[in-house]
Amino acid sequence: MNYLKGMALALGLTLSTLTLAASVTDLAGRQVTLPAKVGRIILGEGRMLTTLAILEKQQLPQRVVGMLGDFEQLDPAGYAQYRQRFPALDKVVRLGKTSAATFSAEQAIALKPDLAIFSLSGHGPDVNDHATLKRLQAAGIAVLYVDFTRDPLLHTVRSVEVLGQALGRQQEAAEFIAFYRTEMDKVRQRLKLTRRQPTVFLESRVGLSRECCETMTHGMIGRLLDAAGGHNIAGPLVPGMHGTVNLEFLLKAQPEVYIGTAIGNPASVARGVPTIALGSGIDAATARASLRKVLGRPGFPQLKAVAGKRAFAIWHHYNYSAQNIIGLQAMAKWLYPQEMADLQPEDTLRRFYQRFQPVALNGTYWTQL
Amino acid sequence: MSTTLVLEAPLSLAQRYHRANLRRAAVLLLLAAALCLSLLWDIGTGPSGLPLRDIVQGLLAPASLDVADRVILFDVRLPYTCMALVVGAALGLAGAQMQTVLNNPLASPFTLGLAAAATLGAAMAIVFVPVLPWLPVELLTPLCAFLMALLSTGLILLLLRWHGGGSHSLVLFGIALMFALEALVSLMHFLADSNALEQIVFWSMGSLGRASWHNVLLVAVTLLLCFGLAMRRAWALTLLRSGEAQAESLGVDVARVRRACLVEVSLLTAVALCFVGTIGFVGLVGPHIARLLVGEQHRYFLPASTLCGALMLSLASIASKSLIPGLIVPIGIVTALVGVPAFMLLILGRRAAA
Repeated sequence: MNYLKGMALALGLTLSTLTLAASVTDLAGRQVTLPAKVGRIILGEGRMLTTLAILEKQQLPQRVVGMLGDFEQLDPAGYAQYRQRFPALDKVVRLGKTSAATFSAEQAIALKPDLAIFSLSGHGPDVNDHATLKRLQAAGIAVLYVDFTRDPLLHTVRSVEVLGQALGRQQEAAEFIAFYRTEMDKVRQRLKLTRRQPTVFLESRVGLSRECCETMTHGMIGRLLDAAGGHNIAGPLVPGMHGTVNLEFLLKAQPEVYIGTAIGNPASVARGVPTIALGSGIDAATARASLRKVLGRPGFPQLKAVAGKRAFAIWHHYNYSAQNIIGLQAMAKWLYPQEMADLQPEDTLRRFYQRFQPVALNGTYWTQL
Repeated sequence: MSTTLVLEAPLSLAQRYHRANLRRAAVLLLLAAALCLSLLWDIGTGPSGLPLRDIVQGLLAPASLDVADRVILFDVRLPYTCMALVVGAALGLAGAQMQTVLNNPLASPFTLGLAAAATLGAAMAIVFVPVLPWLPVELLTPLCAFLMALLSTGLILLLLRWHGGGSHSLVLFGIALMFALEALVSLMHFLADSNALEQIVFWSMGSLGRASWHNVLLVAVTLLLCFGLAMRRAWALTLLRSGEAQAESLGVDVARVRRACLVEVSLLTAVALCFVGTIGFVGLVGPHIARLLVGEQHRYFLPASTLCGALMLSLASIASKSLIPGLIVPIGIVTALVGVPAFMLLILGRRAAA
């Protein structure tokens, strides 16, 4: 009986992969017919490389023929690591700089790709960019939308799954999805033990503008914060994915926990830009010093979260990568130090790099006061 | 019959002039009073709902407030309110002089491309981040904005000297320069990465949130200096309103007055805008409202424009905090959205009255 069941299951799986391989439903809900052979791909955003690496491993640059220049611009140290490992990345054609406005459809079509991978929203052509979509489709290029930004929690697994099918890397996708689900369950199980949600203020891209305070709510790291069990004080205030709140609101609300997101990198540290520095090439002491510095801005020392040393910073680029689960774990641990005492985000980070990244872990991805 | 005629003897010209001046002075006092009320209202507005009684008490005895409230009052609300006051006043004063020396009611600090130049300077600082060891990074953007605004004025003055044209050529030069500068700003947009791009966009939306006591003080000192200089020129400017030839025949060195005005106006605008970003409209409309209220005599017109500018920006500041409680709508957006309809009403009202 068991044998029969196994056979049926195996047959079903094979059939489903066979049918699914020909066409997939992407994250925009579109039915995309996949080309028989996906040899050449273009990326709507360069930062997709980190997710693509999960599937392609050491063969990463072989299929990518064009991408946007956002990865090297926004995370120069992270890109430098990739570039060192894959010097061929230098030869990948840049289809634009860091915005959809700079994306060259002509250049993209001229590369004769089989598949274009775009994000629902982000720096490259997004789901509302009908003109680019129509042009690429007219040129016979299949366009696939994925999403790690708008709703990272719901869409990460599906995006990796869709990518796995499109690239013929189902096995690799399944491995990552299992990892992701296991790590997510760790947080979910422990959250069941918690009694009340601590109030949190999430300051986005600290130091980008002189005034306080850009925040994220219903999207990006805002969604990860919700999943980590935080009560985002800006949630009811800011209707979209992000917005700017008044410093006074913050001082009055006095959140229990402050979390800033870091857009600083070794280059910005060298220039003395007042941002939080995290990510590749940043050591723990530099990271902590940068957090300390930004929390010295007027008004911040008077926050109870800062005075009580419940102020933290997280790598901003968890915003748009499949590794967002690691950032989620770090936040959960800050919010519930007791309930999450045995949760090991550092270990998750290490294992993620060992199993799913072609480059070595080299840097600090979160810090605290 | 004859007795009533004696009772209603017409006032002499001097008496009428005196009476008109009294009325103008009264308008100035009213404006100042309105400004005081608006400033108090501005200090009293904010998401934390700190009552006005506590605020007055806190201003007199800061120790009576708890730490958070003290920070809110002295580090958040007061610099914000004072910045609105000095920047609005600076833009009003600059606009008034600009409209007079260019003999153009559409002139404002924006006409000669000053704001576009400041934006370009800020954008260059944001995109290229030149490292100057003696300068804190925070001051880099305002400094570059300031320098570019002065540079563009210098360029216009040079062109004028070379060409020797009157106010018409000046306005045309200014407009040409503005388009060129805006194109360069767009080029900066293109070169910038997305973080820098957003910084530039936010900068050009204008915000009082960048206010600090140092900035406020710097703008205030510049304002006082330029106001004093402008008032010394009040008669020359009044005469200029009756035409360049007329003013020259009465002994006004028109070219010199114009040059001096342009330099001061750029200084004033550059200092004001470099800390808050682009805030349009105030420099254009403040003087118009002032003119409707007190007429063209610059002894009254200049202070009235200054007060109107400050009042407008102070009211805009209240609106920017109140439109969506807890959030701050960039003030450059508010001045346009709230100011334009008010301005239209004023013009329509005047048309109906005429």
